Formats: sequence, C-alpha cells, structure tokens
Amino acid sequence: MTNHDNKRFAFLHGTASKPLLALNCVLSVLYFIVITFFFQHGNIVLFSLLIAGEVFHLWQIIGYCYTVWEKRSDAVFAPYFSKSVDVFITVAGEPIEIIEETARAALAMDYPKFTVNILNDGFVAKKDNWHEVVELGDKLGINVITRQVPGGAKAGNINNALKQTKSPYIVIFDADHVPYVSFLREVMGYFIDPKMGFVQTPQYYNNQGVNRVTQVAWDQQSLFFGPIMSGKNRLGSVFMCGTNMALSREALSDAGGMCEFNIAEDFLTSLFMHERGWKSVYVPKVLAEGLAPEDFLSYYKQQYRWTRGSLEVIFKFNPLFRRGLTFKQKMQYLISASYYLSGSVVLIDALLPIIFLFTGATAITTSTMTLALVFTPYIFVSLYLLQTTSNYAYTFQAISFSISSFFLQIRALIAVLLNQKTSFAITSKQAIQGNFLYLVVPQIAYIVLTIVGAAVAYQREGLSASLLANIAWALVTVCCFVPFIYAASPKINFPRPAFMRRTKKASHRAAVEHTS
Amino acid sequence: MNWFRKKISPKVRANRQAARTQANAKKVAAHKANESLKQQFINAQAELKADRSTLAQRIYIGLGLLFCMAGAVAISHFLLINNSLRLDESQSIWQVSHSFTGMLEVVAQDVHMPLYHIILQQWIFFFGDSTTAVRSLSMIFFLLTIPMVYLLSRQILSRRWALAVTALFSFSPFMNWYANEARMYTLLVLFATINQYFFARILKYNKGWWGYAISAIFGAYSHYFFMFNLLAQATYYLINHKSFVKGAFKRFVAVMVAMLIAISPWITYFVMQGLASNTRPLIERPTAVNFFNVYSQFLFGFQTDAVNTAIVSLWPLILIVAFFTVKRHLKLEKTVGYLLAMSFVPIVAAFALSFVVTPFFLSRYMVSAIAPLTIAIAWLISRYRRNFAVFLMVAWFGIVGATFAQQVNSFDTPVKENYSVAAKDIESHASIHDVIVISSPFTVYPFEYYYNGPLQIRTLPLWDRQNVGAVPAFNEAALPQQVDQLKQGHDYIYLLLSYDQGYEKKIQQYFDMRYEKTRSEKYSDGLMLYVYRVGYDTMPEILPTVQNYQAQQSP
Repeated sequence: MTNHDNKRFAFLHGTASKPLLALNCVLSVLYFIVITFFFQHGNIVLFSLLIAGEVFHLWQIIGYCYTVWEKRSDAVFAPYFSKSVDVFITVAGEPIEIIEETARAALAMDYPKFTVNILNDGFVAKKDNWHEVVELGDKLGINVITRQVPGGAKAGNINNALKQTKSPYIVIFDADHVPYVSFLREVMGYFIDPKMGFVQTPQYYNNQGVNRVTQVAWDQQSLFFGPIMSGKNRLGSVFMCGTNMALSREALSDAGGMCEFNIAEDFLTSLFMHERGWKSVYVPKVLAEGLAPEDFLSYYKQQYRWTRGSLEVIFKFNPLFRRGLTFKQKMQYLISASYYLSGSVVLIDALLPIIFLFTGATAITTSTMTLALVFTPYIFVSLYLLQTTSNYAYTFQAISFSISSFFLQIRALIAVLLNQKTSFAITSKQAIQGNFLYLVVPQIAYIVLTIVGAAVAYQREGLSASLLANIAWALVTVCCFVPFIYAASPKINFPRPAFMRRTKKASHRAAVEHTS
Repeated sequence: MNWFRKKISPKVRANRQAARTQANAKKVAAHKANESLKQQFINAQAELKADRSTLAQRIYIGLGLLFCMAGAVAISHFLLINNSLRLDESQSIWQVSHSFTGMLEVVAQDVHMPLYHIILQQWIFFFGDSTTAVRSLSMIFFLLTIPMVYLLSRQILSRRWALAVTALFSFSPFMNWYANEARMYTLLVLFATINQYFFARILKYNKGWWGYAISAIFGAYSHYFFMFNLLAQATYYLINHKSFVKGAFKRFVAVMVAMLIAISPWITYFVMQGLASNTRPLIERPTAVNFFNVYSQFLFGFQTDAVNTAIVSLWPLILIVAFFTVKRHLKLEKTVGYLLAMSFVPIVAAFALSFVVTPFFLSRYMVSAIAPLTIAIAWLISRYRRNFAVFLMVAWFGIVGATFAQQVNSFDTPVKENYSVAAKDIESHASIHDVIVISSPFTVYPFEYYYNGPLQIRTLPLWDRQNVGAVPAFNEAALPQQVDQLKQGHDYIYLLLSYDQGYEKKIQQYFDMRYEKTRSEKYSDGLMLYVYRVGYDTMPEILPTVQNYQAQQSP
C-alpha cells in the first residue's frame, strides 16, 4: 500500500484510547447529573424537553464508546477457500460507462470460480438505457438478468436474480462500485465458517474531492466504516450496507431473501439473518471504490431513505423484542437505528434559545458560567474522541450536515409514524444542477428567527447576560446550518475582478497543497 | 536439588517459560520503541538543521521582534507607565526599602519568593524609586520574554505565524499591564517561558536538559506559582511518557531534586518565619465565573464588569472553536498537546486547590499560561486555509486592540487603583484639624507613597506598623472605641476605603449612622473617599487649608 493509500484509508486505522473513552462517559454522565439535579429548573415543559434530549445524547455517547471500545475479530479465515460465487451488479439506469467499468473490474477479480451477472432493473424502472446494458453484457460476455416484473426495488431485483442463479455464495456491487482484483480473495475465506451469513467491506467513495456534497458524504461514511463497523464486528453486529458485500445463499434464503418491504432493505435483512443465528464479519479493507452523491438533492434523498428505513426498524421491527438476537446485537441495532431520532433532539436544542429570545422562558436557571464549566470539558473530550477514533478523518462539515439534517429526519419520522409510502430512489451517479434552497427553508427560517428574536429580547431586557448567552447558543446552531444552506444554494460563477483571480503559480501551489 | 525439581509440574514449568518469553518480548518491544524514538529525535534534529534560517530570514525575524519590543515600550511610555502605583507595587517598594535581611524577612512574611525583590533592591539602588524606574524592571523582563515566545512558537509554527503570535503576545493587554507594574509577574513569565521552551525541546529533540534545569531553579525562585508550570509538565509526562526516551524520567527527577535542594534554604527560612503573615489580602473562594474570567483576562485584558459580563456570557461560542478542531488530518501534535497542558492544567489545578487548601485563585498567579494559550490558538487557526486563517488573525488583533483601548481608557477598569489622585485630592481639601483614616490598613503604603501633606494617617482597624507583620483583625465591638480615638481633636475624618476585607460596609455604615457625611468621591473601581464631620470646635471655613499651612511654613 502506498503512502497515498495510507492517507486515503486512514479512517480504517483509528485508535480508541480506553481511558479517553471512559473519561468521555464520565464527563457525559457528570454533565447530565449536574444539569438534571443541581441546576434550578425553569419552565417545566422546556426542562423536560431538554432532559429528554440529554438522555438521548447520553445514550448515543455511551453507545458510541461501547461500540468503539475495542477492535477485535474472532472470525476464522481460510485463504484457499474456493467455492463458486455469483457476482451481482445491480443496475437501474446508471450511465453505461459506469456500469462497464464495474463489470470489467468484476471480471478481472482473482478467484477460481465465479460468474458475473448484471441485474438490469432498467426495464422495470423505465430507464432509457436498459437495452444498452443488455448490449454491454453481450459485449463483455456477462450474463444480464433483466427483470420484467416490477416490485421490491433493489431487493426485488436481487431476489429475482437469486432464482436464476445457483452458486452457494453471492457478492453484490452497486453499479458504481468498482471492485479490486483481490476482492473475492480477501472476502470469501470467511465462509469457511458454515454459520457465516455475510461479509461486509467498506463503501469507499473515490469522488469525494469533487465538491462539498461528495466530501461531506464521504466524511460521514468514514466514521461509520472506520471505528463503528470495526466495533460492531467485535460485537457480532455488523450489518449489510447494500454493496461490496458477500452473502451465503443459504443464510439469505433462511432470512426470506432480501427484504422487500423496507427501503433500507440491507439493514433489515441483516437483522433477520442475525436473529436466525447467522454470523457476520466486517473486513476493514477498502476492496472496492464507488461514487458519492454529487449533488445536494441526491444526498438529501439518500439520507432520507436511510433515515426512513432505520426508523422503520425501530417502530416496526424493534430489535429489543426480536428473540433470536443477542443482547449485544439488540443494543447495536438500537444504537444505529436510533441515531436518526437525533433530528428531534437537534430541533429541541435549537429552539430553546429561540424560545428564550421571544418569551424569556428558560429550561434551567443557573449561572451560565457554571453550565460552561461542566459543558466545555464534556464537548471537547467528545469531539477529540471522535477525531482519534476516526483517525482524524472526520470533519466539522460532516457534523454540520448531520445537525442540519434534522428536518429531513423529522419528516422521515412523521412518515414512519403515519405509515406514508416512500419509493426507493436510486442515488444519482451524476450531479444534478439546480437550486435546492427549498430543501433548507427550515434552516433559513431559523436564522431569521434568531435575528428577530434577538431584537425582541433586547427590547425586553436590554443586553443582559442571559440574552448574550442565548444569542451565542443560537449562533452556534446557525454556524452549523450555514455549510448546509451553502451546499443547497445554486452555484453561480460570478466573474472575478482581475486582482482576485489566482495566478498560475498560486493555483499550482494550491493544487500541490491539496494533493499533499 | 532433585527433590525440588521433581515438585515442579511440566505445566507450571511451561507457564514460567511462557511468562519469561513474554517478558523478553516486552523488553524487546520496549527497546525497539525506544530506538525508534531515538531515530525520530535524530530525524527531528536533522530537519531542524535543514530548516535553519537564512541571513535574510534572520534579519526579517530580528526586525519583527524589534518591532514587537518597540511596540511594548511605546504602549508603556504613552499609556501605562504613569498610572498610579497600586497597593502591591507600593508593598514591593516598601519591602525592598529595608536592609537585605529585613527585606527577606518581610518578603517571606508576604508569602513570596525573593528573587524579584533582590533584583529590585539593586535596581532601585542604581536607578532610584520613582514610579517609572521601579516599573522599568518589569518592562525589561517582559521585553526579554518576547524573543522566548517566538522561540517557543517556532516549535509548532512557521516563522511568519510565530512572529504573528509574538506580536499578539507583545500587545496583550494583560501582559502589558503587568509589564508596567512593579511586581514579579513578568519575571515569572520570563522563566516560565524559558522553561516551557526547553521542555518542548526535550520533547521534540531530547535536547535542552541544562536549560530546563536552570530555568526551573530560577523560575521557582521567582514565584511559588511557578510550581504549577512544573505540575503541568509532570502531568503531560505522565500521560505521554512514551514520547520521551528511556532515562527521561530519571533526568526529570534529577531536575526536580536539584530545584528542591536549591529552594530548600528559602523554604526553611519561610517556615521559620511562621509560614505566612496577616498581611495577605482576603481572597474569596473562586466560582465558575472566576475560572472563565482568567481566560477572558488573558485574551482580552481587564475589563469593566459590563464588558466582562458580555465577553464571558458569549461562552457558547467556544463550541464553534470546538467544532473547528474537528478537521481532516488535524492531528494533535505532541508539542501542541504539551502547550494545551500548559494552558489549562495550571488553571484547573489552582482552581481545584483553592477549594481543597485555601483560596488563592488570581489570574496573575497563572500568568505563565498566556504564551502557551496564545500559541495553541494560533496553531489551530494556522491549520485552516490561508485566507480564512489570515482573516481570523486580523480579527483577533482587532479584538485585542479594541479591548486594550477599553482597558486603558475606562475609569472603571478593575485593576486601576488611583491612589495618586486620591492623595492629591485629600491634600488639597483637608485642613490640619482633620485626620485621614485608611481601610484596609495595608493600603496605607500606596497612599503614603503619594501623600506629602502634614495630616496624621491612621488606619481602621487601628494598626501600629512598628510592630512587624501583623495587621490586627477587625473587631466590630471595638469599632466605637477606635473611632472615638480617631476623631479625638479632629473636625473631619477623611475615610479612604479600598481592598475590602469583608468589613468595609460595616465601617461605612457606622460612620453614616453617626456622623454627617459632607462629601464622597470615587477615584477608581473600589477606591472610595467619604468625608465625615466629627467635631464642631472650630468653623471649618476659617481654618487654614493644607496649602495655606504649607505656604505659611515656607520661607
């Protein structure tokens, strides 16, 4: 592996210092205890909401520390495992050149016995290029399975292919995920364990440098595929992520095939496999490279789909009540799925200062500096922990997008509670240009509310300490919203005046800095 | 021997062998790690050699440092040096006015290390005890610190950034205040910065042990709170001992032992003097507000209550700083971690000990944290894109400039003690039948420094200064008797109140309830004058004023 690769794949090598993890838990609990029991309560409704939010934060932090506590895998690996494999490339209208690259890479994999199949869903998805996929299959000598009967989206496509293939093992790639030559060699050996259900590898985005959206999409992934999945591996709770994975046909059949009634089909199928006693393993090596959503709308839709799917797991298939799961697995599914409830907590935290600005009501009544004394070490240690565990791959923009996604998470929550239908939308592989500000209206409204609220509060009580502290809290939230709003805004290339243009030398220097 | 061998089962033997192998493997691993660390140090030294400044760069750096020093001198000359002497400064002057042994005695009683006073005594011998002369010594220590801050910054920053940080430090409102005060704080900062620099060199290159040891000894003799500097380093060492080569621990212990031996004569003498005197001002137990005030003062200087409240109330904005630390590849280098330890451990430790031992939490005692704090913040900014980083630095300079201006110009800046104006004012208004009463008693020193009139200066509680050391405690029951004693034969009492020791209000109320208040004046924050009519023997308007009296006395 080259130095360049070492840097690209640094997210896989984060370390979790146990004393730091313990300290983070202690500080979180201390902070919670202090604000709950030692501060004077203000408005009871606001206080209850604040505490509910803090309980959620505590759950997430302790859950995170528990997950990343250690990296260990007891899975047995047989390097010369050679049973036959069906490789599935799921396709639904992606550009033909992207599919071709993936197909060629799949054919080039080093393994004794495998068949590459393109699962062409373009016909049922009414995509124009579905017949081009068939032609591509002919050109490359690949079996193309074109579905005629719609239903079940990607899961339906896979289930359809399962009926037409026979190998005991299946490997799935999205159309844009180009496997390395060594993929099968590195993955299939884990199936020497007859109870191995599936093997997951990281979903790496090689277009992360294209723009802000791709970069953030990857930054968020890096935390998940770095420390979190490695931790889940230790706890036997890895879940499938839809691509770059290998499955046992027997295990999949036992779970009833890929789950077609949830838009996060991979998540739920993993749960079904685990509750039937199948094992899973995560291989912390990048063995395929894919594409991140390149525009704000695609990112938004992808996040919405993941949120909706995960929340459905909580409300319809709550892991706590699934009998076959171990306690560790129950906890891990619950921690992962409940992450998407954070939208409601973000809303509560964001609204508390706004409510103060307009009404003067507060959740707690205390010296703002005492709050600072317990809050500051807690937040700095939490963020430092995030950095060390992700091996310094995580970014503020990733945090910003996570916080700013509160509204889509709330929308997804409402959709789940009201049982609204959501169609499976494939993440676009090409950037869609446009103005997506309509997707960030709540965030813009928040900024307006902050300004108006500040004026109202100033009229009411002058430049008091409480007013300043609450404005500062609101500004923190505004700072988190700004990158999200900027990403949603239309990109206008204003001609720059001559003095602002970069010289060739400066451009070269910037390029070198970026590369290095 | 055979009977013994037979008793050891093969399993036990195998376990022992495994334990031996494991221990050997650990030793080998530790040796390898140590060798790798040594290689890292060699590489770092080679990098340092390769990065030596060219002549042009040296001139550029030299000019930059000269600009910083000149700036500090200009600030002092135009804005600060002529401020009224503060209580602590007057005490310094009073203490060094004794014989050498007498000075050591009063310094020990005042709970201070003697190095500054020894130097000050010699300084006054050559340059006199005018305000400008005594304060210049602190300014010299400050000017010597400036290049040290540059060298410390260079451990983690480029030349330009190091110069920018040095400029920020040079124009720091907090540092400039103490650079113009006849106290030991800039001496403390000088040795603390030298010590921090050598520790950083040990950490980075495994070099600088002698410099570290010598600066530790001198630092310990400059102020008791230098120990917090060493405590922070010890904490850092305990957490990151793997960053140091084998044998570093022994050397650190040797340095500490040498330092303790060096200061032991003074500590013995201090203990023999009875540990502490009653002359210490009352320091209250710190609160969370005090904790954050320390950082607010380090960064923005001394501000009025209103401005300070505004600054510290905006603390949630720290969260934005916290978010900015989450950046790709923004790894906390070991030297940065060390500077962070130097910025926070002393303050946290002093805060905690103020609860456990006795309250002593004052920002000036922790002044050695300013340079590391400034450098660490600048390091974070320097990791961002150039334009953004430059914007942040310019904003920082702007804020520092604005808060400095506010500190200098505001009448209510809390550290200002306008005893000179108070003395001149009383001198011009009081008659020879009046008496000046000062409380707290030890504030008599700065007042006396400026007061040239003939009136009696008394204190409340009554204090006979011929009895060394002890300021009598306030006794409410004895107050009427003491006031009666004071007013005896006088028409007006000029009651000058400052440095509230917990009884100021009681004294004021006592006078308010019994005597006619004819005047009140505020000279600076916490320095109040109240004039009470206590006698009616003579008509005040026909009495000669002090000026008239002096005019009559003069030929």
